[in-house]
Amino acid sequence: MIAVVLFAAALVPVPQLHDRDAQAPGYEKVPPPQLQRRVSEASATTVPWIDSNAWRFQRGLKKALYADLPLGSGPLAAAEGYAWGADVLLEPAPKDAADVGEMLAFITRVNAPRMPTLANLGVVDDGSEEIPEVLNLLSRRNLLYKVIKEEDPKLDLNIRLGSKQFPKDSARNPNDFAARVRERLGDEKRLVRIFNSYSVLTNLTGAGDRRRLHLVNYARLPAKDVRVRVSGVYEIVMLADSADPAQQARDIVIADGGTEFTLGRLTTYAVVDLEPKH
Amino acid sequence: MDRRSFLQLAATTPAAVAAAKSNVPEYKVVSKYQSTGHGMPGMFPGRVASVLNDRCIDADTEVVDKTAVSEMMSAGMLCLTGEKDLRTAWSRFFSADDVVGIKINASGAPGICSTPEVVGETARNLVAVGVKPENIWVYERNKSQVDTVPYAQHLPSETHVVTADEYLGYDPFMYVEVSFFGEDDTRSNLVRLVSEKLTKIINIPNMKDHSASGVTGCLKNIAYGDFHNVARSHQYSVTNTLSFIGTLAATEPLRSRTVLNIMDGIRGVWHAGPFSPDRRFRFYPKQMLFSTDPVAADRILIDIIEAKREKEKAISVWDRSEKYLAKPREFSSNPNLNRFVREPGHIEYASTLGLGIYDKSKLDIREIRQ
Repeated sequence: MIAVVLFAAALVPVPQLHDRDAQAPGYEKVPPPQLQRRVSEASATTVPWIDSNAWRFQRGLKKALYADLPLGSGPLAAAEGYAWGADVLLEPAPKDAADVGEMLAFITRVNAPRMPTLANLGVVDDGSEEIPEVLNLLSRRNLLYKVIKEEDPKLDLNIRLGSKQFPKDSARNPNDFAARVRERLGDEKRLVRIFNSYSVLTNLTGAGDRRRLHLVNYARLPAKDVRVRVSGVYEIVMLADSADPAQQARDIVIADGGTEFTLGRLTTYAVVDLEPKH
Repeated sequence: MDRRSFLQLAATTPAAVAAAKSNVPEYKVVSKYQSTGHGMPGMFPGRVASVLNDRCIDADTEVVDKTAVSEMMSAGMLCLTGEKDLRTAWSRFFSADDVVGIKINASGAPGICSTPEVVGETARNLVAVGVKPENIWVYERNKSQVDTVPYAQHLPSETHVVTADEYLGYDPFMYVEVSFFGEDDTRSNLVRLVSEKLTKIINIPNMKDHSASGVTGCLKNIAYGDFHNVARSHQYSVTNTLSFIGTLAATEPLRSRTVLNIMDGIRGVWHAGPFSPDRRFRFYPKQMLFSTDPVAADRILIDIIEAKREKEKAISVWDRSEKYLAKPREFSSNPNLNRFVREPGHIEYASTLGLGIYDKSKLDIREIRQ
C-alpha cells in the first residue's frame, strides 16, 4: 500500500544562487552530493559510494544551503534539492556557473505543482544515532520510505530499529540491512527499481493515478541504458532530460504489474510523468 | 592416492554435485526464445579434437606463426567433423545466410586473449563457405580490453569488431534474475547483439586458470562473457560460479546459437586468471581444442591447468581449504593462495543441465600432433 508523505499543492521553489558572503537564516548547510568509487575487498565489483542528501529531505529538512560546492557538483546539487522537494540555496564553484544556469533553466521548465512523495516503507524515527545511516541506506537503494513517529499499518512494511525484525546490530552492515529490508518487503512490492546502474537515485511523487518520477544520476559520467521499473501500469506522457531534449524512453514494456522502460543516457537529471494506461 | 587426486575425486562424484545443487540460488530466466535443438552440446556431444603444434608460437617472443595456426585449425575442424574437405567441414555448421558472432575473450588482454591469428583464420573460413564478411561480428563486452588487441588487421575489412558497452548494449527483455548476496541489481541481461542479430556463434576462449571458477574455458566465456552484471556472483571468499555459469550458458537463444567452440591454447594462464598482468604465470600449451560440446572441452582444460599447476608446485584448483584464502594482491602474486573458494565443479554442474558430457571415460578425444 502506498502512503502519501508530504502534501504541497504549490510549486517547489526553483533552487536559487546564493552569495557566499550573505547570511542564510533558516537554511541548514548540507554536504555536497557526490559519488566515490571505492574498491571493495568484499566483492569483485566496485559498487560506488554515494553521498546523497535525499535522506535529510525525507527526514523533514525543508530548507538547505549547499555551501562552497566543489567544482562539478553544482548541477547535481540543484537537481538533488529540487527532486526531493526542498527549498535550496546554491553556492556553486564559479566555473560551474554556466552548467548550473542550464540546470536551473531546465528545472524552471519542468516545474509543476508538487505532488506528494510516495512510499510504502515506514521508518520509525527514534532519534537514535543509527537512524541517519538507516535512512541513507534506504535512499541509496531506492527503497522508498517515509519517516514516521509510530508504526503505520497502512504501509507494507514498518521498520523500527531494535525490533525483532530489525535489531540494532543489523544496521551496522549496510548491505545486510538493505538486504533485510528488501527481503521483508519483497522486490515485487517495490515502487521503483533501477537496473544497470548503481548511481541513480529516485523520488516518486504522485496524486490520484498520476505519477512523477525524478531520476538523479550521482556519477560524473552519464549512466547508460538505465532500466527503470515503476510499480503499476502506466504510459509515459512526458520525459524531460536535463542534458538531452531529444531523450526518449525506449524498450517500454508492461510486465508483472509494472511498467519498464530504458533511458539510453542519463547525464544528471530526468523527470518522467506517468498516467494510467487504459 | 595423493591428496590432489583425492580432492579431485571427492569433488567430481555425483553426490558432490547433488549436494551442491541443493544450495543453488533460485534463478528466474526471462526469455521469449525457444530452443532450436542445434546448440550446445551440438552436433558432436563428447567429441573433442585436440591439436598440438610446437611451431604455433615462439614462447620467448610470443610471436605467433600464422601458417602453423592455419594448419592447426584445418586439422582440428577436419578431425572434429570427420570430413576430408575443409570447406565441407565448415559447411556442416555455417551457410551463406548466417550472421555469425565470434565470441572472443579479451578479459586478460593484452597479455592473453583470443589470438588475433585464430580469430582471423576463423573469419577466413566463414567467408570461404559463403558467409558475407559484413555478417561476421567479432564481439566482447568491454571496449577498453578489446582496444588493446589488433583484431581488425587480421580480418576482412567489412567484418565488425564490437563491444556490448558501445554497440547495442544488453537486451532488456532477456535476462536471468537472481539474488546472491542481497545486491540491488538482480538482473543479468544478454548481449543484445546475440539476441537481435546473430544466427550462430563461435566461441573462442583461452586456456586459463580462474580465481573464482577454477578454470575458465568454453562455458565461462560464453556465459559470463555474454551477460552483464555477473561479477556480483562473488563476495568475500564465496562465489556462485558453480551454478551461475551453467545456468547462463543454458539460456536461449545463447545455447541454440552457440554451435562451435574453438579453445585457443596457444597461450595459457596457470595462475591469477582470468587476467594476466604477470607473465610469470603465462604458459604455452601450443594446443587448440575443437568441439561442439563445451563441457567436454572444459573437462580436458581442467587437466591441462592442473598438470601445469602441479608441475609448478601450486595448490590444486580443487583445493577448498580456507587456509589458502587471501586478498587479491597477495593471490595475484602467489600461486599457493586462493582469492575465492574455487568452483571448478561448474563444468560438471553444466553437464547436469544437458550442456555436454563430463565423464572423461565417455569422451571421444582425438589428438593430433603436428
